[in-house]
Amino acid sequence: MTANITSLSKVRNAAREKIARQQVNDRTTTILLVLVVVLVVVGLGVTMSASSAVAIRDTGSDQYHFVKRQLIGVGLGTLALLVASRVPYKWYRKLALPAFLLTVGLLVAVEFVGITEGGATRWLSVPGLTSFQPSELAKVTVVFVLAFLLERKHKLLTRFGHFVVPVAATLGVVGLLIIRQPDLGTLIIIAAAAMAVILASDTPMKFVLLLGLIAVLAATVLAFDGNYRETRIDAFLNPYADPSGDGYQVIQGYYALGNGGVFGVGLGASRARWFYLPNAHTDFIFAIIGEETGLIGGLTVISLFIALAIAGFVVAARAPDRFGRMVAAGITVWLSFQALVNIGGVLGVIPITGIALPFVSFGSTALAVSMGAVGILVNIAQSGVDRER
Amino acid sequence: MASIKKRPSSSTVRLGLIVFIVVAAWIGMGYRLFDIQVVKAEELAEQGLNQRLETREMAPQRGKIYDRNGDLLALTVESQSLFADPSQVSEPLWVAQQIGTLLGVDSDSLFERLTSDKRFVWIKRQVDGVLAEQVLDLEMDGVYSLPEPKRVYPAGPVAAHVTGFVNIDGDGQEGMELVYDTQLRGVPGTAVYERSPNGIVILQGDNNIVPADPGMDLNTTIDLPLQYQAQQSCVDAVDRTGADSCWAVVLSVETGEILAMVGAPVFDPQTRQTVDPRCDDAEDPATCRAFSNFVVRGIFEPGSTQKMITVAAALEEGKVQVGTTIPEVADELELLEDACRSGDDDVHGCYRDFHEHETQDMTVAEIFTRSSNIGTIRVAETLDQDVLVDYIEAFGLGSRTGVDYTVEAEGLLRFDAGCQTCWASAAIGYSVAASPLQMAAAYAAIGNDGVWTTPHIMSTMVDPNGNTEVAGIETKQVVSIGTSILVRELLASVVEEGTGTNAAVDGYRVGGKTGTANKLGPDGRYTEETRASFVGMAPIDDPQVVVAVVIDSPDFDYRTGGLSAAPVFSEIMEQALHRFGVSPDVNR
Repeated sequence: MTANITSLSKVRNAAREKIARQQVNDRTTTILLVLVVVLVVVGLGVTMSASSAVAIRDTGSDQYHFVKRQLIGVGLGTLALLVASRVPYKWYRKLALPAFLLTVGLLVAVEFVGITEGGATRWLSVPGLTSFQPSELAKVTVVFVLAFLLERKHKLLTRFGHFVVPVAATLGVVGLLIIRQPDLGTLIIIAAAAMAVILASDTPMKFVLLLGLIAVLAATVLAFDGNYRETRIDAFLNPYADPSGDGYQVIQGYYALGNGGVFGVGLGASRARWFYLPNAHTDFIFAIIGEETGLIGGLTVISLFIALAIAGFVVAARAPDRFGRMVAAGITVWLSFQALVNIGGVLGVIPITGIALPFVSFGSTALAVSMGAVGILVNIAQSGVDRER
Repeated sequence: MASIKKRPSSSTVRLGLIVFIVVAAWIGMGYRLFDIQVVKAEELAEQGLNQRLETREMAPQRGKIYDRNGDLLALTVESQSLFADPSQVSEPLWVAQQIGTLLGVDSDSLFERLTSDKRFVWIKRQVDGVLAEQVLDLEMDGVYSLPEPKRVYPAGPVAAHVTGFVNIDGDGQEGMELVYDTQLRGVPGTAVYERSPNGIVILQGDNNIVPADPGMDLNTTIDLPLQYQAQQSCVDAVDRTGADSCWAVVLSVETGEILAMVGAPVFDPQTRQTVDPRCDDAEDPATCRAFSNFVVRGIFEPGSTQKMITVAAALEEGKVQVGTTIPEVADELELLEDACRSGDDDVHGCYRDFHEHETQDMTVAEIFTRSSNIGTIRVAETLDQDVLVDYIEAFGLGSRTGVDYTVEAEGLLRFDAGCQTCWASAAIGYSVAASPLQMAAAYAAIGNDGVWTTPHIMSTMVDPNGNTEVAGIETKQVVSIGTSILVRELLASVVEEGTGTNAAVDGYRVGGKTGTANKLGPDGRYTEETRASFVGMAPIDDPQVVVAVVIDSPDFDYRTGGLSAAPVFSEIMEQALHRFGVSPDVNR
């Protein structure tokens, strides 16, 4: 009887715990989805305003040209999110290595048949679709492959060689190929995501710090290597030294933000989008948000990203296994860091890297990949378990 | 399972570390955003605004000029001005030849401009739109057009001396265009607006547009058909008499309105070039510059036309009657001793009649009809010199009439204290100088029962809001009605039986006075050349119109006012009377 009672209460408790767990998981999922939907809608709205002048110039009449293309991205992204949220994330353990090799293959293909635009070769042309950027894919696959490798080796990670070889091999190959494009901005994101994966692994802290030190050194060297990047650094250090040249974009961004003030000039009333601010609907879309909706709007967007980061780490912390934890941490840091680097560039606190603001900037590949990544987070969130208190 | 669940807490701490770093970075961003959007916002917004703001002046539409019947004398139309950016012109020689041929521009100078290192050169300004279109259709690199207002004069050269003209930038240079430039011009508007770097107006911008106030329309007193006829008469007269120029003005007696004001040679206000074939090979191009309006700006010795004032003064003062006999009027008079001994008219103090005649008794009427110099001086002798001068001045000589025209001549009166003969010279219209308009106004006073009126060209100016400006005119009584009627009768007899028979007009009684004055040569001595004039009015019983004609340097056969100016007067007067529907005199 007693045993029966005990087992019954155990079953009852287990059921109760399961319901409570599911409630927490659903809540996390809802928060993630709401955040993404809000950011995507904000992005569409601001893209409509920011791109209209450029759209009319480029197409002659269709001011919604870019919005329409972005809607395709939203469609693709929604599909990617739904599919990724249904695919058990554990499958990615098996997919990680082939996907990584595919990514490397595509990056190599960029070397040979890539499309060059603005001095960089980053794109592959896809028949019937817009151009495709393999380095976007690399953000996901590097997270997968590192998580996969570090999970498999989690008992050997106290030995430096076992830690550093797989990390150096994956990051080295991808890093080299991306530097050659060049696309330092994307590489920084990948490096940050990789650091997050490593930090979430069982790697001893001293190795992590060592790797972090190496990463900072490498970034510094890369930043000052090559004229293309050097001018960006110069422009960052003192944009007013060349206000009509290298410093132009940052200064125009300041003007837009200053014009917005606390409450903004109103939706659709941006002046900067009238060909003053280059890339107003892509890299510098945050300046348009700040101009049209003011400090209020800017802080709202920042708050949304903070919320996304916290939700992402809740997912990581509740992940039932190492792989899920590392993937969730990697994806969360990737999205957060990309947003930080983008907005930091607009605000002039870090050099301009030419990367997009996730979910918000115009760009259908990036949007589809980002939303797919959130789909993976959702799937991990749905498997979430409680930690001991 | 349990081992997974009982994860080392260090991993959660590590995740927390990442969250902490990310959130801290975001807070830093938020602070920076606050710094830009609040602390530095005003300064940044202003810098941004300054780069977007554009201030542009918007040219007002220049007012139109009408004649008294509402026919257009001047208006502004839209035209195209062609220009080039030489740095973009790839084949300057070909462009210069093509455009040169199409537009009638000198290809060589155009080629020079197209190969200069400037970024903007005019090809030709104010071209007709269709023609500009033809040029642009050639699709030559670096050739553009922009719209530019162009002043056009539908009456061509006919009213040129009245309207004057504007320069290529639309600034009044002469005539009405200059006198009323301010009113015609209007007030420029300003557009302050935000624009994109490529010049697109930002519709959401703080745009402030103050539209231009169009200029006022100018209604003149000119009667275009009469103006045309008068000009033709003058052009014909120049041809017929071989004169340098012919000038005529038609005044409305009652109102002082200038009905026509013409000169020959004429010029085209459009091209600002004299229209006279003789000017093509003129020795002195300056003489062929017909812009300056002699009617207003020229002065001449009025000669006998001035005798009207002398006689009117004597009659008004009651010193003589029309029938008063002046005894023993000779054909020569010495006011200074031995002045006539040299036999040379040039010596002051000796006066002679135009034709030799026996010394005889003459009535005032006879003296006036026959235009006797000696007789007129004898009449003038009855007046105090000061009184004569007062009358001359009252009739408007020696001071500007106040006509609305620039650079009006004042004329010349010389009554120095020491001059013993000046009064006598003035009495017969020598050693004084007046403009044709001054003489016309003086005669109009006689026509208007002794009331002198400011001659004027503008009747009203109307702005688009209906505000109206009217001509400011002065009137003054110069002589009595009675004197006016007597003088008119004397003037009529000049035409009927005196020196002015060529001035007669069929069906009307016309009164007027001839004038012939020798021109002063460069050495200050009188020459054989004359200025022949005729000033008169009709119908004499109720004068409506005064016409003054001055012909400069006619051939010797036409040297007198009666021979050259009177026929022109007759033609113009006839047209004027017909134009204004004046009934013919029944007693003729």
